[in-house]
Amino acid sequence: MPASPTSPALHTTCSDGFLLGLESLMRRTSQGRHLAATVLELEGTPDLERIRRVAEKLGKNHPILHARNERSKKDWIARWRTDLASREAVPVKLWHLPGAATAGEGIPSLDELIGQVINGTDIDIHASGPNLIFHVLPLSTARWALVLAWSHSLMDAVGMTKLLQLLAAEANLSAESPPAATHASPVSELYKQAYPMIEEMRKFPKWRPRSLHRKGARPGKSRFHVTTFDRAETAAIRAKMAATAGELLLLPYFASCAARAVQAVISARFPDEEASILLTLPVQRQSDPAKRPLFSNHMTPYTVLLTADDLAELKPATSALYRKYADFMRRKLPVAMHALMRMMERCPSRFYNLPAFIYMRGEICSLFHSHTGAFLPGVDSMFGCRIANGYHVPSVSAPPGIGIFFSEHEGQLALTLSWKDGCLSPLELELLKETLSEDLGAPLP
Amino acid sequence: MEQELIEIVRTEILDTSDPLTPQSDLFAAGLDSMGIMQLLLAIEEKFAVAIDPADLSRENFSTGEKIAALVAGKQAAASR
Repeated sequence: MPASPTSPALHTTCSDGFLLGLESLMRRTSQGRHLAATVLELEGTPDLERIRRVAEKLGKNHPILHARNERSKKDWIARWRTDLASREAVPVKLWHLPGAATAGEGIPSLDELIGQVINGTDIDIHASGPNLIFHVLPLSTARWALVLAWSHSLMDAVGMTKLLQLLAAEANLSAESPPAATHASPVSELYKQAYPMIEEMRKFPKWRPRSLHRKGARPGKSRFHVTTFDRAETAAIRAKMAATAGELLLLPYFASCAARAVQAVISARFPDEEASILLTLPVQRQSDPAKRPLFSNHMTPYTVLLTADDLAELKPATSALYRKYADFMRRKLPVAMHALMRMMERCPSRFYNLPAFIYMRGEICSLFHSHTGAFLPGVDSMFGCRIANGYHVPSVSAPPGIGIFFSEHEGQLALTLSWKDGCLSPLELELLKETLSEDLGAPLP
Repeated sequence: MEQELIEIVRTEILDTSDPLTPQSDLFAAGLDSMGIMQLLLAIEEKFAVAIDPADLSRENFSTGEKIAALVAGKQAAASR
């Protein structure tokens, strides 16, 4: 079907603008693309006809899934060019494991497929073509995996949850209204609003925040390691958390565990330094899922700097993180951060990382972290099959070179470590996992 | 206080037009870890009470009614 001349260019949020900057950094330094894989392990066998039918409906109803992202010549703000997109089905690729007498291309394992997806070139937001691909891999006669490959410049994990909910509903895949475009405020006005955050960033260098990125070393492939804790281990982790930081502060608790693990590696690498951790917590601005658009990232980054002293013990680390978050809120820095991002959205992508490179001594942050809560709450089956497990595996850029992500499905916590080759040696990976194991109170294989 | 807390949760944290009562299950309505952090800040600001992490249980925060009871208890303890 030809491109629709009436499809509007969809507004790109300023969070998307930041991610475009990150994508640009990754491409300039040969780090691949900013992609993610969402993995659903399902019981039974895949109904390919049903999957293809849904993929066709989804792709035709959402031209953004084949659109390219382009900066406007008028105001330099990036927009999804849906008017140039063909209304085509979301591609469905079929794979098979060695020895399996099924159709599709051979692949040694599910992990190998995920590795190919996050290091792939099939998705390119700078060109027309798919921004989402379905991969189907039968794992046995009673289990299969659906791997959704997607661009992080298209949506975040919250958007992916919403998309999965739509897929589970199948019948309701109609197009949604595009996000409303905000008017471009004068830069002088935005600068005034953004100034408190600029001042805040100027304080960072004296704390010497570090990441695992090795300056001068060219980062390699995206690697990952997923650990799904069983119900007993998850209960033990939850019990330790409740005793340490209360039952409810999941995000600061898991962020503290992640920050302490990265700091352990940095301290081992630079034993004479008291390095701090700069943690950027991505938080959804829209709390109500009904108000969140399916596509576009709608996060607000909260920047928290944790010193070596803050991170010395887990319980005080969680308290310090909460205290600093509260301070960030009280000083109304989210508004300033938002203005800064809106100011930057009109800058060329490579300018995006300049503040980080000026104020943070070349680091964007010390690690990427998120806690996405329950994986696909309220949905227990997909394409007629029960969901046995689900998790996200995003690729990360260097700097910072590493990401630690948590989510939970049916009482089982999943932890995804993502890193770039060259940022983490095998020994450092062991130290990182050991520190995480100790803090979480459950072993990491 | 119950109603005030419910309004804070509804308008500032959950950003929803759905009605909530003091007995509504706030976790079922979408209150998450980040919402709890925002709520703690709002309680500190509006009621001049700091909640100890030990009090952060699902039981204490499941409804507006229970949060109000917790806050009232803290206020009473502070005024003794």
